[in-house]
Amino acid sequence: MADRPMGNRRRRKVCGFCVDKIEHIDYKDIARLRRYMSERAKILPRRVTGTCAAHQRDLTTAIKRARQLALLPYTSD
Amino acid sequence: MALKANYETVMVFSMKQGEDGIQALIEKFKALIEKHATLQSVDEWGKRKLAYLINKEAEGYYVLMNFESEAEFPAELDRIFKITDGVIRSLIIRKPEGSEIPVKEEPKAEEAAEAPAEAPAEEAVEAPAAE
Repeated sequence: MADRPMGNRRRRKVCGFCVDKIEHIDYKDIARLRRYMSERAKILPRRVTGTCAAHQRDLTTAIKRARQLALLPYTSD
Repeated sequence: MALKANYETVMVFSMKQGEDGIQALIEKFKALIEKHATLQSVDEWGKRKLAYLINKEAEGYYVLMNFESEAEFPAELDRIFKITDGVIRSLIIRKPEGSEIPVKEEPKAEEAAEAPAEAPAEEAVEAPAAE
């Protein structure tokens, strides 16, 4: 009952790829992939973005492919 | 016969090759793919800024090609990418099954949505002119 203090109700995060019904994450969709990267171009963890496990795995490969082609940076600044 | 699959390849050419050199390379790879596989589409993205410097170059010329072939061909294509001067990056991906259907249907849906929206707009412009 008192497990969750008042006013500390966290918003439930939902996977953006599930919402948009994206089955295969495209490594060419740079604008979208950028949203899942930090300022320093690191891949953001699931706990930050709320991505589901399956999509996080696909996202990782997509970002890495984009990096190989120099569409996205490995590091920035 | 052997099993065929759909592949997608992106190649990045060095800007040092010059306009003509890049076109020649594109033709070379088009011909190569057509010889060993079925070329489905070619999409030239053109000159793009690279996310990081490659051989001290800041820009590259991107070309995407889709093709259907047997499993042996991508390995050969990759070997040729590696030994060809002017190719600074390349990627060959086997497309996931059924990934093409949504790509083809999307533009149709957009066209249908835009068409009726434009028609009333034209009428509105004409109406004040008639008065």
